[in-house]
Amino acid sequence: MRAARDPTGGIPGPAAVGWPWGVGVDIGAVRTTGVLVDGAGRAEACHELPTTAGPAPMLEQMLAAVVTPSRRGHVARVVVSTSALTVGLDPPHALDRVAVLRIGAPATAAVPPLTGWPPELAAAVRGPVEIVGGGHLHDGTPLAPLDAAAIRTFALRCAGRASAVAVSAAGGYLDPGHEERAMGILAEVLGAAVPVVTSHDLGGAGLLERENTAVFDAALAGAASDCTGALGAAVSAAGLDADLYLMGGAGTVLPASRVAHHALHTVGAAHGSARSGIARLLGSPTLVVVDANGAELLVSAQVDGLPVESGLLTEVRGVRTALRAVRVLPAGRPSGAVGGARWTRVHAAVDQAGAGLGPIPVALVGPVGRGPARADDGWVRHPDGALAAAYGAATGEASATVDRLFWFADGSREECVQAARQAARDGAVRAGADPRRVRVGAVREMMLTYVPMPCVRLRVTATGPIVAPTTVAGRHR
Amino acid sequence: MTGSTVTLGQLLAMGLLRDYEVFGGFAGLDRPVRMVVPGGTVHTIEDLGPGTVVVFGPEQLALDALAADLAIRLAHGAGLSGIIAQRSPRPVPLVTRRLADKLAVPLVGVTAVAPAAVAAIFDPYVRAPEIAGLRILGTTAQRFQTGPVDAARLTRTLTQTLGGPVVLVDGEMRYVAGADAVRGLLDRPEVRVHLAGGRPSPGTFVLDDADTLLVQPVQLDQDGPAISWLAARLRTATGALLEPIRQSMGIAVLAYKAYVARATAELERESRRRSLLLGEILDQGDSPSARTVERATALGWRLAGRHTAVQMAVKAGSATLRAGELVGELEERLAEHGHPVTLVERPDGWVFWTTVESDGDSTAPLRDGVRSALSAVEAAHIGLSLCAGIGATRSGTSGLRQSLDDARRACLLAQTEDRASVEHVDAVSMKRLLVGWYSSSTLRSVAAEVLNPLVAADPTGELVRTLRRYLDQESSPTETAAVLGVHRNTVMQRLDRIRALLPVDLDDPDDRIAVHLATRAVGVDWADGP
Amino acid sequence: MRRITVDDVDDLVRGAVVLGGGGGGDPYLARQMLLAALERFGPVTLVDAADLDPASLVLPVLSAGVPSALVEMFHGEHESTRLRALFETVAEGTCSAVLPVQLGAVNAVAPIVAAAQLGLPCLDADVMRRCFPMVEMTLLALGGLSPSPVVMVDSRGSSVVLAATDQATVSRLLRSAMPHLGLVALISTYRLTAKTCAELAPRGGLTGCIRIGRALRDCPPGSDHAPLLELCSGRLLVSGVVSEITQRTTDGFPRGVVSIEATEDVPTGTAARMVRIDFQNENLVVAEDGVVAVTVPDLINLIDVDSGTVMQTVDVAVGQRVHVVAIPVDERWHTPEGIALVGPRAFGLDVDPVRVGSA
Repeated sequence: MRAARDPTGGIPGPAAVGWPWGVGVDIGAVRTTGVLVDGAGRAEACHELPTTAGPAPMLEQMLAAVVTPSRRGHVARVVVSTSALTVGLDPPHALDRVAVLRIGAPATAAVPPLTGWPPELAAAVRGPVEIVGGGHLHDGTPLAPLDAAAIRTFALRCAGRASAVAVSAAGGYLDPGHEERAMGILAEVLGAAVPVVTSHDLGGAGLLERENTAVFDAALAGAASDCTGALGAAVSAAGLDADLYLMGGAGTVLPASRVAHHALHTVGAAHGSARSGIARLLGSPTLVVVDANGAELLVSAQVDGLPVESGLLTEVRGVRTALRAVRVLPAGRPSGAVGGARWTRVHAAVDQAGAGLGPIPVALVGPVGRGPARADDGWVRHPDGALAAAYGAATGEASATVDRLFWFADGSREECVQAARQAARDGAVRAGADPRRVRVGAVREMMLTYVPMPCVRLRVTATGPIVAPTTVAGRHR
Repeated sequence: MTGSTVTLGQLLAMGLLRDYEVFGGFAGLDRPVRMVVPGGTVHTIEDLGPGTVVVFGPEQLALDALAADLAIRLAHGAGLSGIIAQRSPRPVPLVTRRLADKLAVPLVGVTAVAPAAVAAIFDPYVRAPEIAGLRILGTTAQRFQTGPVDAARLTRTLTQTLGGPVVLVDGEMRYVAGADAVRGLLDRPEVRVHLAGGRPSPGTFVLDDADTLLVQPVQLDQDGPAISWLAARLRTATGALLEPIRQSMGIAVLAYKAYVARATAELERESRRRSLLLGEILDQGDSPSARTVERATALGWRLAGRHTAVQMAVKAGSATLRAGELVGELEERLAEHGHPVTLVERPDGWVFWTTVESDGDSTAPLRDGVRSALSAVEAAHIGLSLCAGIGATRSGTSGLRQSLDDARRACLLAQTEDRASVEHVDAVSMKRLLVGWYSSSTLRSVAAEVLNPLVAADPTGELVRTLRRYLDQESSPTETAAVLGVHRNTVMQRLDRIRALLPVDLDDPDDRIAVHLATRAVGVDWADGP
Repeated sequence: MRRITVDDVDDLVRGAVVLGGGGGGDPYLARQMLLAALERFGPVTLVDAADLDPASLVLPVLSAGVPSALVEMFHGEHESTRLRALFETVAEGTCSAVLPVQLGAVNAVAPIVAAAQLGLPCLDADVMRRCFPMVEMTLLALGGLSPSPVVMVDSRGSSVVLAATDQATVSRLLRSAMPHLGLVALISTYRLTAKTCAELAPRGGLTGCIRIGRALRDCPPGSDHAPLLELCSGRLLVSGVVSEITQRTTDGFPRGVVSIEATEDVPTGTAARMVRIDFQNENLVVAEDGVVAVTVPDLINLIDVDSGTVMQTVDVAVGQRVHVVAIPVDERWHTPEGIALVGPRAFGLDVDPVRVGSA
């Protein structure tokens, strides 16, 4: 593998030398690819293996292949892209039974938790369900005092009846205080063996969507913890003192500790990794990607490093979640003859993915020789397109998005924008981004209806490279 | 009345309104303006005459309101020359801007000015365009008095000032800056005759649809050729307005000339500085002084590592191309092909080098990049022929010197080829033998002697060329004919003549090699090698 | 007797989105509200005003509030009971059925939910025939009734009763009360008997939604939506790609413009038609190249071509391919009095009303 387009112009500056190295591993259904990158994002080693075992053994094999003993000391992070955490969503795999606690009474009772879930899915996950007093209003004032006693009673009811607890509060995305206090009470009663998943940082307004997401995350938490634990063990077994991250569907990374409680974020990780990987290989943060890695050809676009969203929320098994859906267009089988109708479909998907973005490059990623191609397609093919997903993981960045209402008196609109930017920045840093290198994207004003007072809904994403642990920086001095 | 009129573009360009923005309908900015009036309601537009510009206050028309679309349609129907309305903090919807474009109705937003005041400001210039002409001249003088301006600013500022599209082309009519559409007008026969004339001079041409084309030469010295031409297309710029506009263009050209002169001087100074530094580095060998290292680092040069040097030279020049421009173009093309470098002038060409940390990289991409860059520059200039040589990859400062020497010799070798050629000399290349041979003046004079009879018999060089190609093509007359583009019989006839004239036997392998080398060396002005 | 059951939920909500005309609130939440109520309380009986005791009152029900606040803090279980009690006290009578006021995703559902919770039947009728943003934009107001008294309750136990002699004051009082109720409230407005209701409120509002929803279900994605247009006598005005959305919120009424570039075969050298949708919650005017094609009170909808989904205008994204569809509304809104109440000028747009099919 040759180096990616080098942002430093060929001469690694002192800063780039100081940044630690990373390993990215994409564990697909058929093949597993891995890339080792240095502090400047240049590939130092790469490898490809057939996927013959579970994620942890595959990771162990891959680390042995790309990290030679002399390089172990450089590696500060291992980033894995895998769908293993969410296999529980696909029958016949089982989901854990979940206790659902909503904080929002006396409001919100008209739609109890799990309303509208497909009956067999609801039956599988439904444990004890309760709506207790608490939550916050649109402006951050308390809706009702938190009913700690009711939560304690509920916690006692959960013991032995649920493998995990999902907690969500009305207004929780504005003030997580009630969710956090509830989590403390639940942990106290149930102990560390029962994971408690909160929903306050799972998205913007939409209590039902956040609650649904938390229920899925809780139902997957047991298996997800086992999986991240095994991956972490594989990192240690390879002799690395490195942090473990997993790729999310948006093409950004999440710390393993967080993923264990929020497995749903990894839905679509393989495609997200490939998209951000090829964008960085080409040095083109805005592009359309045709991904021939999986069983189906997937087409999507990103602008300035952020994936183009469909404007809708992701549905999982017919249940709406709080995850904003990336606009991913399926376009048929990835390989085989490029006939007229098939080409038309691929072409239409590419056009649609790039609609409204002006002339932007189209890149094909996937194993060599796979994917539709025509001499006149004008698509970009990077020689390392087959490793794009692993490269995307190796160079993956942390990010956070703020999407909420801000209420303002006259003249303080600018302060709202500042507050939104700051909140996004803080979120990215919490997610692992290096505070010195966080980039805050454009603040977008979203539309509102039927609002009787001055307020604005702002949405902004901040992204940055993963922070270097001080121990590693020390090793390099 | 002189019969001439001003356009809305010219009125706006005069700087009478402190702050304005054209949201759409740019194509209509050069329509004549007959009058500027304050508007009543949107529907009163229908009562206005053709050529009117109507000005609305915030009470009558908001640009983001649906009424703006209606106003544009009505203005189009009535033949208006533009709509001016108060700007608001709210964006003008795309659909409104596109409608103005589609119907070519200029839609102008202004900041907090009463409609009657706008009409009053513009009125004198609409009624008496000669005042407008003076105003344009004054504005030009003011805008260009700030000192040298580059091509982009020249065309941009002049376009604003004159209210019509302006283009700058080089001496060979290639686009430099401004409105490319105007360049097409330079192809008209009468314009071409003017531009090709012996003494460059300003020209005025009336176009078919009552437009006027003005051209103005840019000459670095009064009797020299035009290095560029400035051209402006103006609608209705007849009579009183014409002379001030012509003078405006003259003022603008002066400012641009100042820029060209300064840029040339800077380039030369910079180039001299780099040449001197490289000389210093090569002189100091592997232990350059701290000061030298510091200056090299400041230029982004790397002294450690493994270097591959490239030298480029001109085989045959182009009449209108200045050396400074050529270096600039070469650098630009090299950057396009993946080698963002600065060229350093040497006595016999320009050099640059690439540096890698370690072994292993092939020089093939470098060679391809240089070749593509040379071809691209050649393609842009008729008669220009370039060549390049690439040295072997070597370590350290002394290695850099060796690689530069290799490159220079390879460059000489490349001069023996006809097309844009790049030769590569590395440590094990057989071509080193040739370089050694070509570099020996004694051997070269022997070679010249050998070929003398052919040169004497045929001063055009046709016989030498035929012989060289024949030997290049492994003595195949058919291939030779194909390469030269002549009939095989012609080649056979020439070969008969050559055999008769030459004092050597072409069937003897030793003689054949000597003659072959002689044909390749002849006609190249060799500097003596080490 | 017609009843609303769990099986009707998807069609009813889908149809109500069409009558929302680009507004009307989040259909997902509406669907869950109705589903939860029907699962808990069983089917809701639909009645005709003529079949009720003519002297009894009907209980108009409206969920008022900011959609983005509602999705975070939706209604509890007791608002409808408190609303009915307070309304019956203020209006001095007994309610025999719930009356839907506005048809839009949330407010087609809210009265059925209230009826289920109260154990009352729900009238298969409404007084807007679509979604309008103000309580005074009803056929009741057109028939001479005042919206006063207005009764508002929130989930936390607060309630408001307000009345005024003119409708503008009612609107202002109502809006100023909302922030104190957490921007979410269940409302009752207009005092009317079953007899008056039978005269003024057109029948078939809810079953109409279900019919439209069913027709929409029969429109395959990518099609021209013929079954829907046939049922509603609607027109497909133009199809295109959304190229810009602007919005301004300065005056408390969020207004905006969607710019759509028509996708059609155009002769070379000419630009494609540009379509403009002016909206204020709902879509109000559609114009093509500056020529007004259809205005409020008729319905204007944007339908996502790829999924066949009828869009809330706030959810429309740049780059999306859409059909622009117009559907005529009740004749009463097209009388001079109706136009004065809900025509384009009532929304501050200085254009003459244009009906579907007249341009």
